[in-house]
Amino acid sequence: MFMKIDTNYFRPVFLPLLGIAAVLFIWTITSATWAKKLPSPLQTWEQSKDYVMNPFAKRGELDQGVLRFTGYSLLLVIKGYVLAILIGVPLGLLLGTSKICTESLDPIIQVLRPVSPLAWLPLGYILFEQPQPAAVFTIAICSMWPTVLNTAVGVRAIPPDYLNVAKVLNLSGWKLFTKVYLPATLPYMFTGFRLSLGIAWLVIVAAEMLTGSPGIGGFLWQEYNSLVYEHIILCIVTIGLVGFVLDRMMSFVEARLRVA
Amino acid sequence: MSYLVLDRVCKSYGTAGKRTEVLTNVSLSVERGEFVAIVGPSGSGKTTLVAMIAGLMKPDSGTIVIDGKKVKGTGLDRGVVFQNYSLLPWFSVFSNVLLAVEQACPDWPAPRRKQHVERYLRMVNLWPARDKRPAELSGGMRQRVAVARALAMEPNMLLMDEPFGALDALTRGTLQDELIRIWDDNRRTVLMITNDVDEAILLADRIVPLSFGPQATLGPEIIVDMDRPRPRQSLHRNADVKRLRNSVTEYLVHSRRKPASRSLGSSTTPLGIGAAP
Ligand SMILES: Nc1ncnc2c1ncn2[C@@H]1O[C@H](COP(=O)(O)OP(=O)(O)OP(=O)(O)O)[C@@H](O)[C@H]1O
Ligand SMILES: [Mg+2]
Repeated sequence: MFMKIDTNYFRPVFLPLLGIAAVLFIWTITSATWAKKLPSPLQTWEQSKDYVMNPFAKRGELDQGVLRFTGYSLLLVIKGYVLAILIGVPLGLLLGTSKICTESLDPIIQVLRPVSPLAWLPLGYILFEQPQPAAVFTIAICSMWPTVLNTAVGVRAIPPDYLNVAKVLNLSGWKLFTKVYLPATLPYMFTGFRLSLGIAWLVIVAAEMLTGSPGIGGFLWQEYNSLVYEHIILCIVTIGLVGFVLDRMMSFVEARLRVA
Repeated sequence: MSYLVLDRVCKSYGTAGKRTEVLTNVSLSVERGEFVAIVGPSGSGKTTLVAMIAGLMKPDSGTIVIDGKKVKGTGLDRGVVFQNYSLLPWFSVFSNVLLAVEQACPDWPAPRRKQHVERYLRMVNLWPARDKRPAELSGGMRQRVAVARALAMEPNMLLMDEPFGALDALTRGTLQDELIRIWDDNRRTVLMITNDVDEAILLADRIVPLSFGPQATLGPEIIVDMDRPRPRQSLHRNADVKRLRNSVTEYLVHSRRKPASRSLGSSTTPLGIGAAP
């Protein structure tokens, strides 16, 4: 009885705490020994308290609560992400249904896919001449590939049985799409959406750093330039947590779809 | 002219190197309003035959003509009950049937369609399960949904691929009776695949055996010349039934003893004929 309760709590609560403690310990040692410029955990907390305790405060353009900055970033990410989905889903459907499209577009996609956001951003600047659209462009073009590829895989994986039913019922056009193709591929699409969102969030920091837009990435870069290293760590932790939460949310929806 | 005519239909699977001909020279005529049962062992090509008549596949050679027109693709004139049910898992039982009704009767107002769906779901005793997803149903229940879906389309011809295979004897009996009643009401053409000879004798006007594959072909037809209704209780005592059952099984057993060159691997195929109870 005692053992049972003990292990029940031990695993999900104490093990992660143990991991955090270990990291904080190594961090403290590191900052105390060979990396003197690295702020210690305690220093970091002292300097960041204000930003965390008043997460929505706005004291000035460059001095705002951490969640307020996150909000700006999320807004930008959502714009790029929505654009990625709007382009990615139809492209994926096209690739999934047409062999000719797959064969002609696949090499291009494979070449464009690994290109870093840092490489796309200047091109975005040239095309749109504004930091915000350039960032949106970069997020969209970097994050759309998982959506494209997963949608295509999903379409190809539709069991022939369902397509046979559709044929026997003479389903066509919009009805065929909404009654068979869409529900059959939705779980795959959502895997793509989740991975895409992860990339979009990854790209935002780079995009904000280079464009100097207000947001969590812009804040990070600005604090680096003003030598407030504690805030860099604050930003890193925030970015990680937000990314984690986004991923959990998408996984939740994804799991729901798989069951249905 | 017959409603359905198959003329020397052949079908192979596989690519150039290892191509196996599944069906060879399958010829069959089915009259309008006739109930024909095709009985054959597992793996002989019954589903393949249905798929071709449904228009899901083209024969390699030979022709399939329905109502005077060569089959070019699928059509709502044929209602298909797939062997593996093929229900759309993201829809409820009700919506699965409704989708078929929407397609078959596009001019009907929504309430009428819904009534129609209800009627057929009640017929297969699945009205209480109307809001369930296929995944929540047993195999037999899914099969009944598939049957209801095809019946609800009220097609000119019903193509049924072992529609009662997964059912217990009791449910199977009820559905067989129901099917015969519906068929008797409006005398649509029915082509039913089964591996149960007794089911074929109970339901069909004519039984056509399909030989063991590969290169399966239809054997000589056996006319079930018995009055309807055919009370199932007295069937197994009937001397005619014994004779019919014997002639079907005899053909099938003989079709298995083919020259060695033709029966590659078929010697291990189990006899897929439902044994007489
Ligand atoms: N898509 C396919 N590709 C290759 N071979 C196939 C394909 N579909 C069926 N076959 C082969 O064709 C033969 C006939 O298959 P079919 O499904 O028509 O048999 P069946 O008579 O319906 O059997 P059962 O009674 O078990 O349903 C089998 O030997 C099978 O292996
Ligand atoms: Mg079959």
